[in-house]
Amino acid sequence: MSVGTRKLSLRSVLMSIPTVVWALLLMIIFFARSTPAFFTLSNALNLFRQGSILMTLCMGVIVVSISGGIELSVGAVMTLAGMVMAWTLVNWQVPIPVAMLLALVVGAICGFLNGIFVSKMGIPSFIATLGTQGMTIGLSLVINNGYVIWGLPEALDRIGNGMLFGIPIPIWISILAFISSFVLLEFTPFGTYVYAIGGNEDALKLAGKPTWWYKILVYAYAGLMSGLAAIIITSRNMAAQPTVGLGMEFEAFSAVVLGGCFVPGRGTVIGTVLGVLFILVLRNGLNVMGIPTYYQLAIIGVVLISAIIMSILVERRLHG
Amino acid sequence: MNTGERKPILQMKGISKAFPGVQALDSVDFDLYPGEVHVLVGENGAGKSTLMKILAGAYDRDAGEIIIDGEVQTRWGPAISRAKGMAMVYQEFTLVPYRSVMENIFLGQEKLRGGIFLDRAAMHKEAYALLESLGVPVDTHTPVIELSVAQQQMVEIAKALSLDARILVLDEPTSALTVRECEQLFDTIRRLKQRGVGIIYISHRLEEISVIGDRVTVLRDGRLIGTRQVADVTADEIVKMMVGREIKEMFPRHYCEPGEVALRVEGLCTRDKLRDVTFEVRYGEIVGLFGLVGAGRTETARAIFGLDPYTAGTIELMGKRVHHIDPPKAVDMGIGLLPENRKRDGLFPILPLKDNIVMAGLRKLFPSGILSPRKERQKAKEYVEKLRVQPPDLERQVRYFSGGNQQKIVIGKWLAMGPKVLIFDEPTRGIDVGAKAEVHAFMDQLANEGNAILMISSELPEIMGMSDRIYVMYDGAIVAEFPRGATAEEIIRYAMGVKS
Repeated sequence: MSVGTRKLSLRSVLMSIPTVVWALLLMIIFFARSTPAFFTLSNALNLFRQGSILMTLCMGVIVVSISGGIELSVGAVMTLAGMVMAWTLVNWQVPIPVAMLLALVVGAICGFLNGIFVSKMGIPSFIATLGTQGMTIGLSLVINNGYVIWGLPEALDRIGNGMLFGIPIPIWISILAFISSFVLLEFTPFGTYVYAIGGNEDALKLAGKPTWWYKILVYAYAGLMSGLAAIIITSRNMAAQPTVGLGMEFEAFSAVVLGGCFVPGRGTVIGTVLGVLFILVLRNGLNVMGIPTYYQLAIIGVVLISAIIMSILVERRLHG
Repeated sequence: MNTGERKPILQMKGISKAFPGVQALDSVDFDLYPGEVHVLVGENGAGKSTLMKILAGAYDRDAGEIIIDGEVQTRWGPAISRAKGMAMVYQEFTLVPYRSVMENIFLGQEKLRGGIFLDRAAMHKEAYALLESLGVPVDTHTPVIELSVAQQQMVEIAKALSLDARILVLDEPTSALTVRECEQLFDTIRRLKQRGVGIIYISHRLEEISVIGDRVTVLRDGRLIGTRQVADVTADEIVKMMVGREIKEMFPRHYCEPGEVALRVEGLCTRDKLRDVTFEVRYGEIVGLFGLVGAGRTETARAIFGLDPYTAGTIELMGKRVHHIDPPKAVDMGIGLLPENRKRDGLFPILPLKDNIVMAGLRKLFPSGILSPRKERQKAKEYVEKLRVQPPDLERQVRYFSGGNQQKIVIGKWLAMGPKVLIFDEPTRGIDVGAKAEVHAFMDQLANEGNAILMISSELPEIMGMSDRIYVMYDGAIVAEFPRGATAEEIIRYAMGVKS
């Protein structure tokens, strides 16, 4: 019995290393060899600084994905939170910390609404979050008649483009998001319930837990992370642009799936970080190689589908 | 077992429960002593699960008392039931597949450190101790999906016990276990008895009663037939108590001389269920396939229809060997399957009656690929009249029809394709008596028109009343074949795996 158990554990260890790790390594080697500019410190810093937004968003999306939902509104919610933040800074001259808090609140409220649609009204998450996406994009455009909001206070620049201990502050924020999601999922009962909702919701219901409430919290948390990302992007650009989050859902979703979360109840924060790195390296590498943005989207799509096919094949081999 | 001097932990007195059209329980008494295994047996629909659901607080009772430790309980519900030490291990497991054994055992009652964080170390330790005390030292870090079915069941039991259960209900716990795994389960049950846990054990397998039970209670048609000490009763007596009911004139089978062999299955095996299944069905014949839950009847039907792959064996249709089969091919070759779960597998609930009837036969009906609504209605009307679907409203959504009429619609849907071999999986489950008789009459007519019918059923009267021949399955294999007129005792003995 014990031998059998150990063998199975080895399998699970193998299985828990997502294909994305190997793909990531291969890709880094490929870009490093083909383009000298790729493997430089400045490029690496640039990559992480740009990636901090996607990373922060994904730290929310992964929680929704594990619970079995699909979150398609994070980019749009981030945009709205950024617009509200900038608008209040410029028009009401609110203090920067208040504006930042406002961004978080707007994000969390949007997420909470998603949660109510999904959990209380039984709307499929795909549809609910798509609806929220539409609503928030619309609101973002309404706020300043579709124009970019400029003229943010100088001090904000220190957050978006400043450094702390030699590392850009946006990277620190994304690390904060990472720690938050990691601790939440790995070390708290809430995390266990998120996995249980994705894996077998009835099990949690029979254990006497209010699953509906946890589901709402899951989406609210994702919204909060969108608010956090809004702080980064607004302070980095020193402007709020009503279309800035377009397409971010696609990248976030891809990163989470590449990171091994394509079955409800599975997936990890670490895997998601790897998935994000994969997307970032791929985009950055293609940029450095001079491949146009339009092609990049198509390439990410192809990579996404191939990665899932690979994972399914590996799974079949291991379980077959 | 000396129960006389102890006090029962649980008494249920005069429990009654009615559902629309059925008296599911009629003044049933049941009690349980600490350290006892009380086996509950009865045919499907006898009221076992209703009784247990009332105990678990999932259903409200219409009448009767629940008494715990001598105290009459005035309020009762899921939470109170749990608090009083009731734990139930369901037939379908309630585990979270990709999470660890420990997380599953403690789901919803995690131990915390500092009020916020999971105390994994403590929980692993306790979970391991719990499993070890059950005689199954499993690594508590393993995701439950990697455990065997028996181990998963142990996790379920451990989960129940972590709540300090004093009354443990095991619903058909061995239906998915191998012989050796059963032994392991019985060991665990013996340990629990020593701890004073009272166990209600629901089983269809008679041979288990003498191995593990102390007392046995038989229910039939919602009534208590009797409670006996296991030591004082034979398997035959239990069977008699379970079956002893007269078969009414519900089964209008008019025997006719069977024709050629329509379907012949030889040595059929699947990866995890069927073992060497061999049988044949002739034109003009109704062949009954009897067996208890988990015996492999539905799996047989699925394999023949090409829904599940088979690993060995041959299928012959009308004397020709079929090399590869999948559902579209099966339909082309004239096989029709009326699935057990007709709502999920057989009907489109929100589509109107007429669409449901013509759906599967569209290609046959309209070879050109272009539909004609007029012809569609005409065809649907034909079957609605033939089957006497009530109300005969072609536009009404199928979900609004009664269970009996839905079953008729499923039959109509398959008939519209003109099959020659029909597999009925539990044709009358959950439908009222009148509709039942109509469905039976219709099956009789179909057979006499020259169709071959394989009827899967776990209702013995139906099997005995409708079949020209009967095959009995047990544990994935066909263990007996009977002509019409076999006795219920004979059939049920084989179905329960009692070796004569």
